[in-house]
Amino acid sequence: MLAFGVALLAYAGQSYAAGAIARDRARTAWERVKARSSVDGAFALALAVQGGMGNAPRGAPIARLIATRIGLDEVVVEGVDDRSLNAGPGHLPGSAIPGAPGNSVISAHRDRHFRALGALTIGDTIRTETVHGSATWVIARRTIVGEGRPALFQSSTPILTLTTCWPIRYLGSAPDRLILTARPVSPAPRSPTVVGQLSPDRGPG
Amino acid sequence: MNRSLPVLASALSLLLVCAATASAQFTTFVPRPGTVEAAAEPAKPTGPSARDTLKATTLTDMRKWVDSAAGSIGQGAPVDTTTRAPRPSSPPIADESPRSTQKFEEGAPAPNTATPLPLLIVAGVGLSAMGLLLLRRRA
Repeated sequence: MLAFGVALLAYAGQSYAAGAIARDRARTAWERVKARSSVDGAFALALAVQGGMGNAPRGAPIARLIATRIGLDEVVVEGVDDRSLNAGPGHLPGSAIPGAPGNSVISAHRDRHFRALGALTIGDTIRTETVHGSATWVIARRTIVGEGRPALFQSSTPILTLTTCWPIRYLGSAPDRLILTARPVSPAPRSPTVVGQLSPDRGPG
Repeated sequence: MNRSLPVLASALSLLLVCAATASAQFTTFVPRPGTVEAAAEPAKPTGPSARDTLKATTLTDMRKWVDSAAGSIGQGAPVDTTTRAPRPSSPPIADESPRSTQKFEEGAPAPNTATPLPLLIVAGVGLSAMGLLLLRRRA
């Protein structure tokens, strides 16, 4: 019994440790991307286009997500598969990059990167950084839906959707999902002018 | 009763943990090549009716085909006329769940962020504590 218990703890610990290492790698990669994009506009443009179309490679860092009130500061990686979600909040492929017109969906585990997400309420602000600018968002809606229920919808204006499992403190597979929808309060990030669909001259939506 | 309680508790924990993780373990079954055909092959009849004339014909045709193929190789450049069947790539486990969202679609459910790790930790701590308690009692 003791051996089995230790094995379970070792497995869980190894998963968390691997996640922490992957998170550090994503952060380092993001710093590299940011540094490179500041001197290489073409690279930034390519990454922005890729992100807007949802074609960024799985696991690639695409943005930084900051919610000061809950101490959240994470690098968002592309993809919502197990490996990506272990490294950080995952950007749902096919959804908009944060700040571009459309719904940008970011998800993470409730026991790791989004463990404090439940403390965010309507009116709280979030900041996102991408290779072509940063944006400030205000949470406009907070809903809890059952697993498998429709929760994500298209939008013509920039929207940021954060999702995680609900309840946050729950043993086993959590049955619900917490959905936070935010709208930009500052002008959306300046996009490359070459990409028409990524030039949001929109104010708060 | 005093002895069966820890066993019962560990069995219950095992059930809980397995139920949380088993869905990610046994999601598909890939039969070994030839296994299905071998299993589906009817039992061979005995006696004079057991002679398989169809198999003999097929083998003759195969020999002709091999001969013709060997001739064609010597005559010209080899042309690959066979179409390779696409190698079935095993998708990520999460893709097999109909409820998980891997790509943005209108009206899609939220991505599957459920994780059994908190349960594993609680079960691990509980089992370890009970195991230590039992060890102390024995000592």
